[in-house]
Amino acid sequence: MTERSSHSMDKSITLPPDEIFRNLENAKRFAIDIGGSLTKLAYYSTVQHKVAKVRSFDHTAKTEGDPLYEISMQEEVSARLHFIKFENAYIETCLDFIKDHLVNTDTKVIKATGGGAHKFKDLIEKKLKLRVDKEDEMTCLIKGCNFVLRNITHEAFVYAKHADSEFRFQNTHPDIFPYLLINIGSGVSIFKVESEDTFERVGGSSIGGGTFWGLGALLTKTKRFDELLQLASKGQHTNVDMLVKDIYGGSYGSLGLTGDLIASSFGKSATPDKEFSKEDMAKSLLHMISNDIGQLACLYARLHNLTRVYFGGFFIRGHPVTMHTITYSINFFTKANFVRIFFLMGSSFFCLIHCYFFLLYLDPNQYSWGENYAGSSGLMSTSPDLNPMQRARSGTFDMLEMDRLERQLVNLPLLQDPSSYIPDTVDLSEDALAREYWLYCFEEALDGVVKRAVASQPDLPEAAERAEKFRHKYQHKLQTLRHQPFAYGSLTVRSLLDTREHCLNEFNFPDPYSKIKQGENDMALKYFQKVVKSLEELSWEQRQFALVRGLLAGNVFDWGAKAVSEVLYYSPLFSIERPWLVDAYDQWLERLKGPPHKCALFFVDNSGIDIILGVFPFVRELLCRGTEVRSYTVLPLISEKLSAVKEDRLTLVQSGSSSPCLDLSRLDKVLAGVVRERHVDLVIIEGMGRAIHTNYYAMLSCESLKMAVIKNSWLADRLGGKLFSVVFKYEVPPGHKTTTLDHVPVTPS
Amino acid sequence: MPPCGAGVDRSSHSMDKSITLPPDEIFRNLENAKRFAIDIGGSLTKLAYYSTVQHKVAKVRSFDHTAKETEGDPLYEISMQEEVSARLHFIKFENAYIETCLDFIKDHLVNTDTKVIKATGGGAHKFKDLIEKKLKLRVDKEDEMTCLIKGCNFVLRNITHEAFVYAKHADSEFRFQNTHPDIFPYLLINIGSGVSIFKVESEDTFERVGGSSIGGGTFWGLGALLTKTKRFDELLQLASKGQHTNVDMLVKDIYGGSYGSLGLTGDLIASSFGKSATPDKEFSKEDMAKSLLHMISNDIGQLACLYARLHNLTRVYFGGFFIRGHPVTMHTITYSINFFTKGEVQALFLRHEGYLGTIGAFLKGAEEDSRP
Repeated sequence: MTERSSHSMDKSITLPPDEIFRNLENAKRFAIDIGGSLTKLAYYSTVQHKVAKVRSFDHTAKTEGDPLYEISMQEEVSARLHFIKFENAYIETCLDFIKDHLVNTDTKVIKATGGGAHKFKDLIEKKLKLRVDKEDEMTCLIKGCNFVLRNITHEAFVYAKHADSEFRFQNTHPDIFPYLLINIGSGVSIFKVESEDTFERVGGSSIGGGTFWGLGALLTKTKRFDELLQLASKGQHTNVDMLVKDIYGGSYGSLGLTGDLIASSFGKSATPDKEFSKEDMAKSLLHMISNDIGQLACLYARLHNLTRVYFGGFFIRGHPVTMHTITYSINFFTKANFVRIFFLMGSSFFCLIHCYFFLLYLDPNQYSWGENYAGSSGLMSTSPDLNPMQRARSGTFDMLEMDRLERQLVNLPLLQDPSSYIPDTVDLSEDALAREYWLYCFEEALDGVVKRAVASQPDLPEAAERAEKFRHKYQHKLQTLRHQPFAYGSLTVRSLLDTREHCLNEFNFPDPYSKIKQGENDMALKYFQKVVKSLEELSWEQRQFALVRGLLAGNVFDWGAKAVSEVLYYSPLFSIERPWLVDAYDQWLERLKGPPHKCALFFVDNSGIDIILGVFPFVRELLCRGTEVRSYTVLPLISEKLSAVKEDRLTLVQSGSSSPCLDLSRLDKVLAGVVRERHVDLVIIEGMGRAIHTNYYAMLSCESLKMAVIKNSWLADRLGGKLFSVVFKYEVPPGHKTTTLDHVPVTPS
Repeated sequence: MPPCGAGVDRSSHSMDKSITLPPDEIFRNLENAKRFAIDIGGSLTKLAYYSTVQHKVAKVRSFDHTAKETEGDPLYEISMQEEVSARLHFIKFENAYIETCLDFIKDHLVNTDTKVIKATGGGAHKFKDLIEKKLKLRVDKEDEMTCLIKGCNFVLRNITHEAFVYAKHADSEFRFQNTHPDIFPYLLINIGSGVSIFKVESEDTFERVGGSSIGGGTFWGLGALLTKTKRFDELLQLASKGQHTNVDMLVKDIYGGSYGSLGLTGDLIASSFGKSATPDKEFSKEDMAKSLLHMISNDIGQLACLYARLHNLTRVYFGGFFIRGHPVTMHTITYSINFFTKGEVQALFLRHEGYLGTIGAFLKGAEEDSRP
C-alpha cells in the first residue's frame, strides 16, 4: 500500500483514510449497494507488490564460486476486490472522498443495486460524474452468495452458544446446491437456490430487521440498531414474555412443551401499570423475531425438501443473540436434525459482490478468490462493545478484501470424502488451551520475523519502517483473534500463518526467508552430489532408512544450520531412534519391496537444505524405482539441480500459495488434472505445517505417507511424545491393492 | 352459545357484590343446573352447565274415529303441557369477575347432586382452590387441547352454520358453511395468548403440529406498551381506525414501486414497523395498533398456510380469543391466507370459537357420567 498521509478534511464526518478506501488511486470499477440503512461499496483495484523471483544461471560452462541462482525482487500487479460497508448517513462524505482520490478515472459507469439505489442515483451521478446503472437486487444477492460459498474459506458457520466453540465453520465445498437462503434485511426474503441460474423467491415475511429496529425504537426510544442489539443482549425476556409455565404452572407435558418455552411474546406486558425495562423489551422483541424467522425457515426448508439453510442480511450481523435464537428456534422446530443451518460471515456483501462482477464482464467462477485477512475486518467487528480491541470507528466501517488468485482451485481428486475433509488438525477456536499457546507462540516469534523481514531487503532503506508497520498490524490481528477467535473463520495454526503471510505481503515482504534460503541452497547444492554418492554406497535396505532419516532430519533444522550434510546423515546430535511416535516404517519398507508406484505426488516446501539434501535424494530413489514424481511446491525450485535424473518423469508445480500449510481442497486445477491423468497412487506430505498442523487426519483414496518431526514441545506433549518425536504415517486405504505396472520393477539391490 | 327462547322469570336479587351481575340474562336456569364445566384462559373464563328447562309444549291428541262418527266432535285436541328438556348453557366473562360469578352460582344452585366440576384452560390450576372452596365441588382437570379439539368437532357437527368464510368486500361479509358429516381432516389454529396449530384427523387422532408465540397476547402486550391502551377491545378499536402504511415500510417505499420480477406489489408490507425507526417522528396510536394487527395476522396466516401445505390440508379453522369475530382480524388473516396459498386454502372461522374448550370439558364429563 502506498503511503498516504492524513488529509485534513473539512467534512462533518472524518474518515480514517489510511484504513478505509485502500488503493483508491488505482480503483478501476465501482459498484454500490444501497440498502435501507447501510451502503456497501465495492471497487476493483490493482495492487503492486513485490514478489521474489528465482533465476538460475546456465551451469553448462560452470565457474566455481559463482552463485547457482539469483533471487530478485520484482514488482507484480495483481487484482484485488475491496468491499466497504458504512451507514447511509456517511454516503455523501464517502462520495466526496472517493471523488477527491480517484486519479485514474477511465471509468464511466457505476453499477448500483439495492432498494436505496434509486434514491441516491442523482447524488451519485452529481458527485462522481459516473452514470448509475441499476442491477436487479435479488439476482445480485444469489449470485453473490454462490460466489462467497465457493470462494471464501469458512464463510458459513454453525452457531452453538453453549458448545465449547460458539462457531463451527464449514469448509468451502464445490457442491453448494440446492440450498435455502434466508435474507433478513428490513423484511425477510426466502429463496430456494437450485443452481447458478435457477432460483426462486419462495416466501418472505414482513417481520424482519426493520421490525426489530422500528418496534425497538418505539418501545425503548433507542434509535440505533446496534444499541438496540446491545440492550437486547443485557435483557431478560422472561419479564415480558408469557412462558408456558406462567400459564400452566410448569411444562405442558402431553404436548411436549417445556415450561420455559415462550407461549406468548409480550404476553405479560398488557399488565396494567407495570413498567418494563428497555433491555427486557428489546430482548423479548429479538426473541420474537428470531423465533418467527427460524420457524418460517424451517417450514420452507421442509416444504421444499432442503437441508441446507443459509442466513444472511443485516439483522444477523454476527450478533450472537440473533444467531442463538434463530439456531434455537430451528433446532426446536425441526427436532430430528433435519435441517442444518448456517450463517454467513460476509453476508451483507453478497449483493455487491455479484453486482460487481457484472461490470467486470467476467465469470467470477473462472477464477478463484481468497480473502485477504490483512484488509478485512472480520466477523462482529461492528459490535464495538463485544470487541474492545477495535477502534471506535470500526463501528461504522466494515471491510472485506478479496484477492484474485492466479489459479482456479479445486479439490485434490484423491480425497476419500471431499465433503468431510477438514484440513486443520486442531480447531483453535474450540480449544482454549491450544489457542492460548499458539497465540503466545506467534507473538513470541514476531520479533524474529520482523528482523528477518528487514534482513531480507538490505538494499531498501525504508524496510525497517515497513517492518514496524507489519509488526503493528499483525500484533493487532493477534490481539483481535485473542478476543474473537472466530473473526476470520475457525482459528487454526494455518490461519495464523496465513494471516502473517498476508500482513507481510501487505508491507512488501514477499519472502523474509529469501536471503537465508539463497545462501543455504547454494551451500546445500554443493553437497548434493556427495550425499547422493554416499547413499549409493549403502545397501538397499540401509539406503531406504537413510533416505527417510535424511528427510526427517531435514525437517528438524531451521535455517542457519552448519555442516548440514553431516548433521543430516551422520550426526549423533540428532538421534532418530525407533520406534517413533507414529511408526509405520516397516510397512513402508515392505511396500518398497513390491512393485514401484506409478506416480507419486510430493508436497514439499520451496527450497532450503531440507529439500535439497533431504527430499531430493528421496525423490531420486523413487524415480530410480520407476515412479513418476510430481512435486508440488511453493516457489520455483531449481529443478535442473536434480541432474542425477535427466528425465521428464519429474515435474515441479507451484502451488500458488505461500502458506507452509496445505489445504487439499483448494489446489491448482491443473494439478488436479495431472493427478487424474497420471493416475497418482502415492501422496507424500512432508513437514509440520503440511502433515501435522494440517492433513494429519486427511483420508486419501490412495497410499499416503505423512512425515514430520515435531519441533514444538507443547505440540509433542499434546500428541503424547517428546520434542523431536517422529511421525511416520504410512496409510493404505481399506481394500486397496497396490497397482502392478506393466514394465519390470526395479529389483532391490 | 347465545341463549335463546324465553327464560323462566327470576326476580332481581339484590347482591352486595362489588360487581353486579345482570341476573336475568346471565346464568339462566341455574337452579336446575346439573353438570358444570369451566374453561379458564389467560384472561377470560368460560362456564358451561347443563340444566333442564321446563317449557310448555302444545300436545295434540286425536280421538278415535273408527267407532263413532259423531258429527261435530273435534277430531283432535290441543293441550298445553309442561315438558322438561335438556339445555346447555355457556357463559363467557373476564377473569376479574370469577369470584363474583362463583358466589352467584353457589347462591343459586339448588339441586346439587353434582360433585364435580370439569375444568380446563391454563388458568384452571390458579383458580382451583377458589372454585373448590366456593362451590364445594371437586375440580377435575381435563387436558386443554383435548377439550379444545373435542369442542371443535362438536360444534362443527352440531351447529348449523358454525363455520364461515370472511370476505370484507363481498356483498355479504359472512359466508356460512353448511354442516357436514365428514369434517375430518382439518387444521385448527387456536389463537389465544399464543398460537397452537393442530392437525385433526379423526375424533381421537390429533396432534399439535406447531405453534407460535406471536398471538393475541402479543397484540395485547405490545399494543399496550405502544399505545398505553390496556384493554384488548379498545386496542382492536384503535386498530380499525388506523392506517398501517404510516408505520410499515412497503415494497414501494423501498423500490419506488412494485418489484415486478419477484411478483411483489408496491403495496405489500416489506417490513412491519419499518418506518418507525425514523428519529423524532411521532406515530398515532391508531396507526401503530393497525400495523401491529397486520403484522400478527399476516404472520399467523402464513404459518397456517405453511402447515396446511406441509400436511396437505385444505380446511383451516381459526379459533381463539384473538379472532372474536373481529372483522379486522378476520380480514387480515383471510387476506394473508389468500396471499400465501393463492386461493388454494380457505380460512374458516367459527362462530363459537371461544367456547370450544368448555364444550369439550363438558362433553368429557358427560361421557364419564354415561359410562356404566
